[in-house]
This record gives sequence, C-alpha cells and structure tokens, in this order.
Amino acid sequence: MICEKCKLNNARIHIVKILKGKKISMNLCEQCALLYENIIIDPSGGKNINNFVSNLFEAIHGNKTVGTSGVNSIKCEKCGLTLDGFRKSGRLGCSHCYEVFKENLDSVLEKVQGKNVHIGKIPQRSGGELKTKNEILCLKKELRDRIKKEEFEEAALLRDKIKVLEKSLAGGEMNESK
Amino acid sequence: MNQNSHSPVVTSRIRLARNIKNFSFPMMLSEEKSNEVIQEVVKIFQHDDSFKNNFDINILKEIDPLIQQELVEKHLMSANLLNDFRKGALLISKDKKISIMVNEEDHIRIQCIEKGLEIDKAYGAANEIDDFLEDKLEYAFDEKLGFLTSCVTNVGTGLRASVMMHLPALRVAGELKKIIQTLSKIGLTVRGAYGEGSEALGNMFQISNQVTLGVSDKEIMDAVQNIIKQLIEKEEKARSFLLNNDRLLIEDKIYRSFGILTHARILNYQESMMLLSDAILGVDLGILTEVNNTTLHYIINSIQPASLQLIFEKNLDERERDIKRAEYIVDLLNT
Repeated sequence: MICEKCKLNNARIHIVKILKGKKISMNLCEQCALLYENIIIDPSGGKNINNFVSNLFEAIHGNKTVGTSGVNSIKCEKCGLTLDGFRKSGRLGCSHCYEVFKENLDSVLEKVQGKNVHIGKIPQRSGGELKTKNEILCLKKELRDRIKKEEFEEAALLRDKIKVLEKSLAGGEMNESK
Repeated sequence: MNQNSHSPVVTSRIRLARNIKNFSFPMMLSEEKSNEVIQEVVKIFQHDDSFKNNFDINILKEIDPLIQQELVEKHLMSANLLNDFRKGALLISKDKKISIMVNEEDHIRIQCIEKGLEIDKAYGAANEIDDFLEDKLEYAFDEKLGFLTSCVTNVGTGLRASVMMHLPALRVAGELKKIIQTLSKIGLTVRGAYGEGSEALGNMFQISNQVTLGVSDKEIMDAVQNIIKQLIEKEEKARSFLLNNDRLLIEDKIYRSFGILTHARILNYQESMMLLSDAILGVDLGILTEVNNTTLHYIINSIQPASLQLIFEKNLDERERDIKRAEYIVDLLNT
C-alpha cells in the first residue's frame, strides 16, 4: 500500500482517529506519520538512538544526498563533520557543530526535546548571572503551577522571590554598564 | 533495608553527560587526541587525594577483553564504550557505585547507581563528581542549549535518571504495553536492563526520562520519581490481584521455577532470568522463604558469559556456560 500523503513510500502505519465522533483512518509511511501526525516511530525499536535521530533528520529535511552544492557541502570547520556525516550518524562532532548545523538542528531538537532552552544545572564557571536567570525561569514555572492549583499564599512568596532576583539581575547589569 | 528489598524497585541510576570545551566530541577524535582527553580527566583525579584513593583508573585498551565485557555485564560501563575501546577509559569508585566513562559518546559520562528508589542520593553523588571536575575543566556549555552533547537526545541537562524495576505481575496482567505507551507520551521511556535495544529479560525494566532540554534536573528526577511511585502501586495491586485470584497457582509457578533453579543441570541465560524473576516474586510475596533477594540479585549479576567465565577461570563455549551456569546457581541456592 502506498502512503496517502506523499504517495511515494510504502504505507507501514495505519492510523485511526476519532474526530468529532467520526472515524477517520489513514495509511501513512513513517516519515509522513511523523510530519503530519507527530507520531514518532523509532524504526529500530529502540535499538539505536542515533539511527533514530538520523531517520528523524531525514524525515524533516528529506533525503537530499545528490549534488555537491547546497546542504551537503556544509561542513564544520572545527571538527570536519559534514552535514551528511551528521545525518548518517545522528551525532554531532563538536560544540561548534551546534552553530554550523543550527538550521538543520532546530527542527530535530524540537521533535526530540520539545523545547529549546536549557533551564537545568549551570556550571559554576559560567558565572552567577546565568544561574540567577535560570532560577527565575524555574520559579516562574512553579508560580504558574501554584496559581493553577489556587495556592495563592505560596504563589505570593514565589512572586516576591522572583522580584528580588530580577532586581539583583537588573542591578548587576546597571553596574556593568557604568 | 528490609522493606526496600521487597519493593519492585531494584536500583536507581543517574547519568550525566559532559564534554570538555575545545576538544571535538569522541566520534571525531583521533586516538592521540582521545588520549589527551583521558589524561585531562585522569590528571584531575590523581591530583586529589580523596578521589585518588577512592577510584580505580582503567585505561580500556590495557584491560583483558573478558574483563571489559564483565564491566558491561555489571553495569559499570556501556557496551558502547567497547566499540571504540582504544579511545576510552573507565574510572570506578572502590564501592563500585560511581563510574566515569571517558570518551564514550561524550568525553565524560558520570554514572551513579544506588540500590532501591534513591534517585536523589544517586544524583547527589554524581553531582559532586560533576562539580569536582568542573572546577578543573571547562565544559562545553551553551547559555541557551545547556551542556552540549554529541547526540541531541542528551543536550541540556545531559541527565538521564533511570530506575530499574522488576515488574512480573504487570507483565502477566498484560498491562505493560499500555503503560509503555502512556509513559512515552509524557517524555519517559521504558527499556530492558541494558539500555537501548536490550531485552527486558527476567521482567526487569528500566524507566528513564527521554527529554533533557527545557526541564530542570530536579523536574526530571521528580517526574521519574512520581511515575515510579505509581508503577510500584500498580505492580503491587497486580500482585495482590494475582494472589487473591488463585494463590495456589502462583505458589505452584514459583515453586516449580525454584525447583528448576535448585536442580537443573543445564540453564541458558534467558531461562535463568525468567526463573529468577519468579523466585524474586516468590520472596517478595512471602511465599518463598528458602532464599533472599540479595542472593537472587547477586546471581543475576554473575551469570552472564564473561562473569561466568571469570568465576570459573576458564574460557567456556555456549554449552559449557549453560552447564556451569546451572552448577553455579544450584550451588549458591543450596548453601
């Protein structure tokens, strides 16, 4: 059976959706299932996460392997990894690759991670400011949760805490600009 | 802890992925450059008295292949590190709770394993090593993307929190498939005991976070912890259902398995794991009193090919291993 969306690949996924009480069924290939229905199928069954990323990459950006110009000529000057190499291994070669392949990475990151801003641990060396910013983000998230749960007393405390931190950030920046 | 030893939770594991600034990731490193990375890390440990005395440093290519394999079987390193063993090193704490892989997929992978549901404790220990290393090394870190890793599935916190669970009743009840699907929707994954692609032998499942970016370390751990608590409850419910439904049938199954374990002459790994799973369930339910879980888990950790050959101090082919495995298990369970 041919995929109903791209009409190119074999349809290997059968999707049944109930929309407003109506049953809709579709036969899609893995790539279209990912693109249109946001269904991620790890083709290796979890065997190889890098293949998984690599397949994801192909689903999003298509398989443009012919020709020497265009996307495939992108190469990281620091480590030597080519875009093609990244696609095949699903892995990046160095920190700089994140900038070199940024355009291609963003959509992959979005699919894999859902979000694109780090709010976790900050290494000490990167300075306190980032840490504060991060803490504010976390507190704001918690604040929203508290308000949702109607825990207003705790929310007020959080709000005050955020204010203090924001002030300290603004103060820091002002001092720097002086 | 007695109470813990009957819980479906076996171990909690934390893994932090880190890379050193100004070095390409291991995939793009020559052997020579890889050695530089190893030296950078090793140097730090050697120059610190408390760490120096607490960690064994292993340069992988200097280790016997059988011992390398045993380290994988004992969860002290990943099979992945062996793919390019000429580039790698492994630091192991004396108590074997903490291990640091150098030049696996990332330059540094800190792992800490604790018995029972102890995610925070494991994180605490891994985090301490992380701070210690970061004090001496500059990590590849991006303000927006966090810790940069070779695979985008680890970028951000670089944190994987995994809990190994023994879920025999849920599997029998046929509920696991549904659970796995639900977990994947909330950013968690379920794998076999040896991570990606490994089978869930002996009803051992590893539940861990999938997402590492846009969530804080604490949020990741809380999410995993919450789900584990729910899974414990579900498994326990399924266990009491099984018992109430037909206790004799369960007792029969457990004692049959224990009978084979204590009397068989040939046992392959897969069958052993299945039987051991029944035995652990038997101990948990208070049915089997002839053995305890410490012994059963000890057996699980010793009966894979490399470990077995090291115990018997000789090379064994598959058939010989199955015979020795049976001999070993019978011996341990009858003493």
